[in-house]
Amino acid sequence: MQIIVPIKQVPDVALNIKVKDGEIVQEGISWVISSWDETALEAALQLTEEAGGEVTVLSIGTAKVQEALRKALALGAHQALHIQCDSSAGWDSYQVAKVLAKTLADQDYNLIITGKQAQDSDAGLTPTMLAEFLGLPQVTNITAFKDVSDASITLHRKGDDGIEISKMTLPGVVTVNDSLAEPRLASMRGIMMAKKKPMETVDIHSLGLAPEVLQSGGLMTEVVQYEKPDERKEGRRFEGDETETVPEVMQNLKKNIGLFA
Amino acid sequence: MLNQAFAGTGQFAEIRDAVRGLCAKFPGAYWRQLDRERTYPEEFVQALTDSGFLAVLIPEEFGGSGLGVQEAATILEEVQRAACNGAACHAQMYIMGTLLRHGSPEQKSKWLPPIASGELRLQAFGVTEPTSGTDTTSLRTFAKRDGDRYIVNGQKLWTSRAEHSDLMLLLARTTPKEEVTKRTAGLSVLLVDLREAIGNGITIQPIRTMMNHATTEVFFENLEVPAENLIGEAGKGFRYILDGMNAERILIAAECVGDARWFLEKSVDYASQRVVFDRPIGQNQGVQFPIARAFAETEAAALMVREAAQRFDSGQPCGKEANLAKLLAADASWKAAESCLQTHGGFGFAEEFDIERKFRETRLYQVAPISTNLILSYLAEHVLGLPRSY
Repeated sequence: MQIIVPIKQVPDVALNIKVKDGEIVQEGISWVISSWDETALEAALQLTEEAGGEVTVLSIGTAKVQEALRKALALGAHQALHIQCDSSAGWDSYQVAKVLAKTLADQDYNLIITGKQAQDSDAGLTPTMLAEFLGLPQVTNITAFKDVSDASITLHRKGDDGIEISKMTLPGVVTVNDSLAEPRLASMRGIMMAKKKPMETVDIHSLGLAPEVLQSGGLMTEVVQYEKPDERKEGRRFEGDETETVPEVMQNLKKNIGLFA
Repeated sequence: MLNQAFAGTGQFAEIRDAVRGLCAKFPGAYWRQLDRERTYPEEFVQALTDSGFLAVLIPEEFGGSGLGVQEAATILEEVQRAACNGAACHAQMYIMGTLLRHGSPEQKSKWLPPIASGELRLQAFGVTEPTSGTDTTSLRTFAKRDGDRYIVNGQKLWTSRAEHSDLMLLLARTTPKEEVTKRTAGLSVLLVDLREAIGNGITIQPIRTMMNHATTEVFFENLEVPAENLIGEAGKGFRYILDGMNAERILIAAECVGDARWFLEKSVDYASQRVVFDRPIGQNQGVQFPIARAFAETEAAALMVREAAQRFDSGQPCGKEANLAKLLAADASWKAAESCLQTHGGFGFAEEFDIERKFRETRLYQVAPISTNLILSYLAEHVLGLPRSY
């Protein structure tokens, strides 16, 4: 089974991201693979470990995204494809899906697995658009794979009150729920092996895309500015005997936020 | 929330990232429980071993990664920066250097692959004795050649991790001190298989210390060690362990940098958030200056660690740099620890903040594996050309 995993490099949300004048301050940002894409990669690795085959990771961006691709190789992906561009900052989901679709149009694969959304934009649109542009079936928010073959796959999809089980013909597109698998950690051996695995770089201008697809900023939607939410105020701890602290807590809830008023 | 100011350089980002991911599975609560019970972090050491991080210096032909001290230092710095404790296993990285550099091809083929895979642990280094301390050439443990074996008698002190190691590298006299022309001669290195030796000539007595360090005292009574376990030539052991000490100092200096960065980050977070008299305490210069000074000293120490590691890896002499790195980094981590505890006030003493635990742990590096006073003596004598003071 040949599996493609498009991955997105995003700012590490564990860092204290700063916003100034409506823009994210780039200085000091550390970049990581979007966590949902890490789950997608883990799913792909488990599938190929069980059913055989190879995983190709794919990412669009400047030379910096090679760090993310190299990490994916360290985690176990077999090869990487880097679509190099000067900047993909501000691109909307439509543009990304167009570039991915053009890149994958002449590739040989059985399955495309992605995170259900990206960790930075949280839009969740790209996989669906990609499936549409490629004319492929798609099932979203998958929690488990069963009965895997090169021609079809059974998918468990999480719903509010149960699990929906679907059979999808391949090739197709799947997005994964993060409960599907815990992403593995890179080992020292994996890091060493990653240096020897193939990474192909393709110039985005060589794909033959319409010029407007590559325009800076969004094509269908545009992010106007960013705002940071107000920081949470420090909590207060009530310590002591509960016969004293419970009335004190109740009094505070009434007084400060109007509860039980 | 991680602060980029304490992230270090972008070098070896993939290694830093992987170590951080692993350490995230061993949070403060894990270490606090071990600390309370003074138990060894088996799961943590096993995870580091399984991921290949402890075999980073072992050549690829023996199953390791074949990388250098720079990468090893990066791993240990990240371990400490994540509030974990590399002291539980850091020796696995550098002790084997003596075996690698001076062991026979047969010894390396026999021992290095299982050490790289984690099947065997080589974490114990028997050097210090109750009466000799840092005056290593005065050690008294004696290994007497008797046919195809050595018979060892004596005692070692502060032998860390001996209870959790399968192998021990032992420095013993094989020629009495009074029979050698140079005091550094007549010492030999033996590889002791503790699995067979415990109860058959070795007794290990744990020593409870102010932090969870698994240190011990080891008694040798007619211990038989096969002569084939002699590393290199008899009588040249002191030289063999000396060239491993630079690696040890660089790696522990890197741990101190990691400690310092953890303390600094905790300090900045708390000083920014803690409001007293209607403003964050970090707005006071009395609070922010010690943190800023510790930060400056940490960054300077980190540069020296990097310089020493680069020189080590490129085969250049690095005694001066390794000692400077250890001195500066140990001082920086201690200063960062002190400012962190002071910044946190009473909360710093509460176990759940991990500060008091890290405070105790990083204090060790003013003393071990080499006292800062001895480093100053080394610098004065060997670098500045001043008369020997001891």
